Amino acid sequence: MQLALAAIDSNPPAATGAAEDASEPLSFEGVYSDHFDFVWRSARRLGVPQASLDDCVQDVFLVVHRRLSDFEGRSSVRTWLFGIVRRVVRDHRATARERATTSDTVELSQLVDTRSEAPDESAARAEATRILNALLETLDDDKREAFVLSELEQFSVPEIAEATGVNVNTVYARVRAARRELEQALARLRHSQQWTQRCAK
Amino acid sequence: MREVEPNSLDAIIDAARVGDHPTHEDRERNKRALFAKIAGATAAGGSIVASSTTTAAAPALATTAAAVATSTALTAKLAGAAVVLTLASVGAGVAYTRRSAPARPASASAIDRHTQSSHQSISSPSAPSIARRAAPLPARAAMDPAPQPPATDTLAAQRAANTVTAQPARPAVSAAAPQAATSARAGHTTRVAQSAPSTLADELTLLRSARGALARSDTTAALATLDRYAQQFSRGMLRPEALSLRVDALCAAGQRERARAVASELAREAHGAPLVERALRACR
Repeated sequence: MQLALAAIDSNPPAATGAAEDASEPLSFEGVYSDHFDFVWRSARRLGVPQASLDDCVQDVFLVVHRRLSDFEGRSSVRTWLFGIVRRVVRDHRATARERATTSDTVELSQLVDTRSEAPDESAARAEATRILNALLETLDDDKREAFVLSELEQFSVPEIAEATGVNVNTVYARVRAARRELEQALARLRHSQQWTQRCAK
Repeated sequence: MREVEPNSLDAIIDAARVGDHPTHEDRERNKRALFAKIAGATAAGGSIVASSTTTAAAPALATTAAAVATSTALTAKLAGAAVVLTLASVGAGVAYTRRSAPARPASASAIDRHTQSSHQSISSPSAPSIARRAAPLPARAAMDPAPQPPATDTLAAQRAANTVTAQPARPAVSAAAPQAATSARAGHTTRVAQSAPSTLADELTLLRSARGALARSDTTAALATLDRYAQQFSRGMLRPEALSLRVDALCAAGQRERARAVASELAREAHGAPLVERALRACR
């Protein structure tokens, strides 16, 4: 992990664009409490397995802790944070792939819940989250990041461009492609036996 | 899946957007572990530079350092067995997956001081069986009044070894460490048989409560109750049932991967039990 952190440090995220109120220096605790949820769910949505989610989130904030004084307020905190998240996540996912064992791997079809009961709204949301995360697994990292920021976090396209270090046209193209691929993945799921069973209920 | 129609990507996105948040427990667990890491790295002269915010975080360390043993992680393959066990003992009574680990850190670090009380009950380094049976609940409560996150797997202890930069075990302990290591490796099958000094009635009460919460679809309450069970009865007689319930609750909460991890743990511990078959199918 030291290597990963060093690599991150040597490659700071782009920090241009929308201005954040930089009149007061940010406190680490403030950033942590304000943005923990964002970092946590972003890591999740970018595909960090549950087993290493805590680790990943903590690594993100270790980088934040170390580099907070470098934050110049030229971008929003969330944009800046996401730049860190995506690098840490990519590193974690690469590590996870290297270490993947039979017991750790989860087949896509298994990610989709087939429980017959969904007794309340929160369970339905949890299930939607699970399905969406399974669908997101079909995307490559670039499209996944663009889609998560656009559709789930509702970042503006310029913000996404900044957070991911590409131009706005590329962002548009990635979001479009991501949506197309997700629709196709959902269609495949719909035609699976599991969906047939579910829809028949 | 009645509120969310499966045939609409937008419906799934809308539901997932509002339904995917960390729990209070996620926040607290990570906060403790993170601040302990920051303080630990600073104290060790690591590359993380202390800022004014670290000073503010420092008081939290007193109660949080011990909790590091329960943070989840994957990265500790390189940690030596003795070191792992040393730190596993830091989490004694905290991590329900604690293997027999009578070793204790040599230093009088903050962690050491704050786990002193728990070590008193398991301080015989050559008697792992005592350590196994010990369920130092009062000591644990004293050392960590904060809500305790659940330990999810043995990697938690390993992670702690990496994170806190383990102190070498004392010489007196080192002889016991390999023995304990062996027992740790073999522990999956033997653990269940080594029951905690618990009363079955108390265990049942908690598990019934958890089951009731689950029946009401209150997964948060169910998991919290199971956490309490794990803390109080780390070697409980009904541990397989508790793990099975946890699998159900995690599935219901949408934490599928975690559910699978717990199911795998149950499979290791209670190989062949009907519960296992059910748990492994739970989220399908």
